[in-house]
Amino acid sequence: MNTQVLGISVDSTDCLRAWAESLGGITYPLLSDFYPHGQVAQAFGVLRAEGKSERAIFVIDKQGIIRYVDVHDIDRQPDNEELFRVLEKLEPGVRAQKIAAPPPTPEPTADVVMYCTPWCPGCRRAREFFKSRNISFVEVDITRDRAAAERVRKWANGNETTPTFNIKGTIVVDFDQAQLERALGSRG
Amino acid sequence: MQISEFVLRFRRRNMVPKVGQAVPRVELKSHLGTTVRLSDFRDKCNVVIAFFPLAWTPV
Repeated sequence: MNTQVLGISVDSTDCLRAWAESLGGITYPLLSDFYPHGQVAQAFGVLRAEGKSERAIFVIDKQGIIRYVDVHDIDRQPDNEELFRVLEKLEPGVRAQKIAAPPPTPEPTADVVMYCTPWCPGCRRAREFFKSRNISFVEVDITRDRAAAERVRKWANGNETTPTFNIKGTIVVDFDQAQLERALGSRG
Repeated sequence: MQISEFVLRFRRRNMVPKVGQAVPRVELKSHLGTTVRLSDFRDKCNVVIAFFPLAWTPV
């Protein structure tokens, strides 16, 4: 897509490395703004008083000019679709190179539905849990299905908490094995 | 909100670079063991800089 993604946080490289490994590896560089503390975040005006940065996206073109700024709600995941639209404007035709995200889907009718994100460690644990019990389930990626993300927000106090499960109408927020077993036990 | 927090937020909002401005200099170590300079990507590709608060704490 002719675009390089760089993640930045005030964490140390050791912390970032451990976190990336826990997520199964992150292919783009995570930059450490650890020492001097938050210096780059400060230069971008996104260093919060408590010492961590905002959740913010800056798009830079090939001439080093800022083309898009989003200092986002720190409790929300920025919308990938909006970012693709911005990148598409910089480089028309680029969207055609990307596999189109599937359109929002209605609630799946399977017995067990798990709402997840690609990087969520709890979702990985849940997959292993279901596999070990031979339980079939349907996954919904809430980063691509924003209608599903809205459902999760309704169930999880306004947060996009993953994994969240819908087991024949019983909602379980977060990977709570005891709650899951109760919900699974009582499905028809 | 305390006065100090208000002043910090006011200053910060005015310090966020705007669309059309040149990007600040960035040179940092990455988790992959490399040193990454924003200037390395000049004339090569677009860059998306994604600040996130802290590792291990996704939304």
